[in-house]
Amino acid sequence: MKLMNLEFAYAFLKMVFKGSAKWKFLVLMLGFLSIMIINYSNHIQKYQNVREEKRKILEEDAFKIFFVYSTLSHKDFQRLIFDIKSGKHIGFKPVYVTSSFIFQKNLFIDLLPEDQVQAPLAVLYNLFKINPHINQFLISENDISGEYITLRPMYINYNGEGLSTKKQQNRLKKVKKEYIEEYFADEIANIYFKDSENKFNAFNEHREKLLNQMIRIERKEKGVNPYVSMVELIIPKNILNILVNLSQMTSTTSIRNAITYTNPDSSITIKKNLMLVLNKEKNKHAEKLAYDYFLPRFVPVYQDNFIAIEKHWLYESLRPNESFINYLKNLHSSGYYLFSYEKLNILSSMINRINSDIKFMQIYFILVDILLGNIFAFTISFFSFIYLKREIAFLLFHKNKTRLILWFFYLFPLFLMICIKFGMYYKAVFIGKFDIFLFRTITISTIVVMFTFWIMNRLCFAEFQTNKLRLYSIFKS
Amino acid sequence: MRFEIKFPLIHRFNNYRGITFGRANDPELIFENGIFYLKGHNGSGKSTFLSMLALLQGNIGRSSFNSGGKIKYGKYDYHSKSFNFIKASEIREREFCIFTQEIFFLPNLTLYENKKILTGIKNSALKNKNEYPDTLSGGWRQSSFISMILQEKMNVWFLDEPFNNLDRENTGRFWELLRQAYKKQPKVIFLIDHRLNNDAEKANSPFFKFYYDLHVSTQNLMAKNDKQIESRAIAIYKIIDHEGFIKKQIYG
Repeated sequence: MKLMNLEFAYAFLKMVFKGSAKWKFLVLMLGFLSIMIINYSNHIQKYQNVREEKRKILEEDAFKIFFVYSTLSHKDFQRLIFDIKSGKHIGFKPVYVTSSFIFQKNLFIDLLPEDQVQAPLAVLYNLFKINPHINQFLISENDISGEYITLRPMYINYNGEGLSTKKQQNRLKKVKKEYIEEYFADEIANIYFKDSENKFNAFNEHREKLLNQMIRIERKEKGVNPYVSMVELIIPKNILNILVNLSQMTSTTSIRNAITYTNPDSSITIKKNLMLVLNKEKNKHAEKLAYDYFLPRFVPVYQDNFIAIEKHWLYESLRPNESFINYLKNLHSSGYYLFSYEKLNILSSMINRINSDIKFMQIYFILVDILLGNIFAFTISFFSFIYLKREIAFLLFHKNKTRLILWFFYLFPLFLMICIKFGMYYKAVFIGKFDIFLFRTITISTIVVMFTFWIMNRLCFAEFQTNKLRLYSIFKS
Repeated sequence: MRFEIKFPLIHRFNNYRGITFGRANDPELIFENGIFYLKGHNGSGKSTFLSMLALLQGNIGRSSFNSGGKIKYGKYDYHSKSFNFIKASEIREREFCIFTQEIFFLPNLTLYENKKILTGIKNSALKNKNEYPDTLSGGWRQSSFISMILQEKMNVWFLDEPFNNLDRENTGRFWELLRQAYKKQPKVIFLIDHRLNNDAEKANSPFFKFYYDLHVSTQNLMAKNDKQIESRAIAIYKIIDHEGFIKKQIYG
């Protein structure tokens, strides 16, 4: 029986690919299969592109953190944070990262060992690619107990690679003058060194030495992030912390002995706790200072899971936290400007475009695939019927192979289609990252085509499988 | 094996055309083992009648046109809407040999492959078995077709003008084949051949016995003038002395 079936299959295939019809049949199939391959590869390419764009958005650190311009007084800033903590804002809970800020076009940030860095600060590190430079700043802990630490006063040249040395020096000079020397030092002096000139001199001595010893570090990674490309220099905020902590010391001697400049490579040795942010609870002045010495500035605000992934049946879309976006927009329109406000709008439009792209791409592909699949299957069936009508009738005269023949003309085009589909998707689905949505799309379109093609197949071979079988007239025709 | 036919047997091709077989005073016709010879003019409906018996035409399936009469073959009761074409093809495969007027092969298969696909017989003593049918003469094609189609195990043979292109030698072979097959297993054989008309018409023919006189009328409502209904007749003879009849056909 098996032999019989094999022989039948062989003879049947020989019959199907007969004479001149063979080439017409092959050309027809190749034509359709090429169209399908083009359609599939086009879709895969588009899908991969959108997926890549989606991945970039999700991984883009610039979209996780926004810099809000703060001209607020200490009290107002406290209120801003209190509002958030009190749960007034439903659906989001932003974090103001006080260990970093942008003054004019320069980023001040606490440089800490990598194992002490957590979420919001870690995002900033990644955004500005700071990690490779941490070891250049924190040289070593030269005491076994870990009480002392060796630092190298420095700043990182973020965007200014092509500038002349003179212009680069001017940049630093400007920062020193406008922020550290004039504003910062004067403020401190007015508050803490009113009555003690010696203390102020000791403090000033350290300040000048520290600032003069700052060396320029060129970035190891080339290129800047376009969303924060306006940032010129990255300055370790630890240096400011040291100055603030020095100003809090009670005696002139302790100020003088706080920093040791014994290292030949312009590094300094200090007590570890000197470079940390002041303990705000213990010292009211320190609390005020901790915020005030940043002003005016852009403070980074971070929202955890700001862009979430929303799963649909056929695709994954991006869903930004709308409440947080509105909050930022409100801040911006109330005078608390965002550093590169455009980023927010760019992000919104990018997400909208990607969401609509991926949705319509998948739906459009399913529709086109169903259409192509049906046209292909219909044409093959119709062609087969026209060319092989008499042969099939002849076979049916003598043998009950109706179902086999019909199954063949149903399964053959379907098999080709499935081979192409899964062949084309092989890389995307099975070798590459498994994508359930891509898999679902082709499965849905294949199932629909299987169903509709069954109807088409019945339509084409109606004379052989409906109740109006007129075998004799087919044969005679 | 036994065919029972109840008249009037009506087959409608469509809304306008149809054909009716039957005789008013004798509404039942039975074919039981034996050779039956059908005589009639061209277009009298012999082939249509046989194709209805062979389940190639007729009232098969729910969508077919309303018609009348019944055909019963063994336990199968067909020419009714409850019958379907799958069942029909199963019966054909198991019971019938159908030798059509038109000789047709699967053109791109050799004779051997043609036989293999139809009968499943692997070792064939077929002559010119590796030739393609198109390259053979009409007579060879006809005789090859005979040896492919006719199988001894089948209960019913429908032979519609099997001698068209055969020479005397091959005709003899055919009759010998038929004789042996019938001897091995009695069956119902329907035969149409215009060359035997004269013998059948003889009043005292020792082999032909008049069996039934079938009236045929065709209806064509689309035809112009008065040709809407035409009447014809088919005479059915039963061969009474098979051995003698076949010997006469072979030796003259």
